[in-house]
Amino acid sequence: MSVADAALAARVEAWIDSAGHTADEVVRTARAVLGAGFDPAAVRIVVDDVAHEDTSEMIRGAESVGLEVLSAQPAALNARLADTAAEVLFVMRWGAVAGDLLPKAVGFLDRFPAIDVVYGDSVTDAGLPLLRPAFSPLRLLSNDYLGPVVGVRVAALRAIGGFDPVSRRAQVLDVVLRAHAAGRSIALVPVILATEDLAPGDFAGTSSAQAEVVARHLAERGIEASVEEIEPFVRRVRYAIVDEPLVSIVIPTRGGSAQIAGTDRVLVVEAIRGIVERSTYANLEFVVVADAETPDEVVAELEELCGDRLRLVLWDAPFNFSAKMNRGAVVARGDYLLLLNDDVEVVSDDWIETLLGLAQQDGVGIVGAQLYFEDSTVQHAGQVYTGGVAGHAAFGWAGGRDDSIRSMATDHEVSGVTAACALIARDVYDEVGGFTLALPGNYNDVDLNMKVRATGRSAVFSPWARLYHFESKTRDPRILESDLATLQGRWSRRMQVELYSRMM
Amino acid sequence: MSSEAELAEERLAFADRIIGLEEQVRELQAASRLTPTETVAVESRLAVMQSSLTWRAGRVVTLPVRVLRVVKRRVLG
Repeated sequence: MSVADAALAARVEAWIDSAGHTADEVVRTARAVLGAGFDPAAVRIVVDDVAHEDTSEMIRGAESVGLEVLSAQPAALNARLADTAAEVLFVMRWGAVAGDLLPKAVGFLDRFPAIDVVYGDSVTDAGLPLLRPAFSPLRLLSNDYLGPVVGVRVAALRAIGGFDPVSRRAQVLDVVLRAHAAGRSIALVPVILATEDLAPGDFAGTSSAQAEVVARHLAERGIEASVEEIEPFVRRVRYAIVDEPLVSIVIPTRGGSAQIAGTDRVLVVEAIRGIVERSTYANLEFVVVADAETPDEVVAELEELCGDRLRLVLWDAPFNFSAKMNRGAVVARGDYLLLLNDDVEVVSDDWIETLLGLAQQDGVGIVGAQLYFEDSTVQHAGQVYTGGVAGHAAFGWAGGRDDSIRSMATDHEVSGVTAACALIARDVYDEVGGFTLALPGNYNDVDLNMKVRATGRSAVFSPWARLYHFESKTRDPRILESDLATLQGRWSRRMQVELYSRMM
Repeated sequence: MSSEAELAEERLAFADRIIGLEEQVRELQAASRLTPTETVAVESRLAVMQSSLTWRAGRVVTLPVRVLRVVKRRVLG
């Protein structure tokens, strides 16, 4: 071991969580940890007498590699935390760490001293990459995506009170949630830090312990919500709506028709009919920004459908999507604006409650829905920005397809959401200047998302708000070079790497 | 449309214009706009690109031109 390696090893400690694993698996993990340059005196195998009825085999395994055992009792963990001289504590939850874990992870912490907690990517035994998202606090409530290795500065961990005695079996999730709530910075190290087996099953009540941690975290922050288990380790958080605010659905239209499923339909009429008949959220108004050529019979149908909830706005200027939406927004009376295309059809009745519940959370700026093509393949599950251009995550995926971190079953942060269906608070819309008039046709929603994110708020996608969007899969968006130049003139450097939907 | 709504539209356009100009200036500044995670991701991508066969072949092909440029700069100042 070189002097530099010895100096690095003196700064770190590793705890290997043995719950849910055989002694052989833990020994394999321990050997990888030692191979990564940890000092054996600073490596502990955490043995949980709840997870293992007989801990003797695990203790023998620890002895076989010359490591000490640490009880999973919170008091024992906190006692060790108080004693350690290490600067950074790594918790190994499963799999085998990469040989260069320390220079990568500790090097990252040294380079960015404001970061207190790190996690990273991994690969399967077969070499398939398991890429994790940039830190996404909302997603973390639905799924602990942090992976096999989590590193935390010991000083930060002590400052937030160490390990919570009531969070047994979900200590890492609890620590990260509390660190975030305390204003600590958490970051993805976007390099491979470990090799792991895919989808470890539930063990020792870990999944239910995580759900309890999430429910407690929400309650402590005064957030009224229910936590439902979708499957082990995957939860849906349903946020209660606060004050039932007026939501203005802003729809631009020219009153056109199209053939959907073999039937001719007036798009805006059927979109609004679906909302009126199916949506369970009541406090709505419809702001329809209609081109001058919209047929009178379409307007009459809208008036009949919406009654006094309709606010019809005439648009008699040349086409400009951004200007039409801004016109609708200034006329709307709601506290929230639901930006919607006219070629949609509601699938999930509680779609507005789902979007609104998320939009009312601290730090959330704009929320989008899962959209399907007419053939039920995915049209939108969030936008991806890379190389200065934008696309859609999961585009064309068949129903039921998902990635390794269950992105299609969890509310999560994304780079952006399409304005074909997006909910945004009116004050946020006003603050960022709505849609830019510099992008009349394309990329105006990308710009809106970037402006919202530049305020420090997030863009969030929910797979639980579902609609059809009858846009042609083969539509040629005819992106103008000038549109791209305008977008990139503002955001090019912020749109180079996609860090939220990396597996989609 | 009411004058109040017209004013609100103008306010939106004005706010967007200011934000757009501010962001254009930031794009041109040398200071990094990236988060720590983005910084490392971009560096990794660059490293992968620079270790690719295409990149290395391109460096070999353009070597004479680059040498000539250096010579020209040193001779002509």
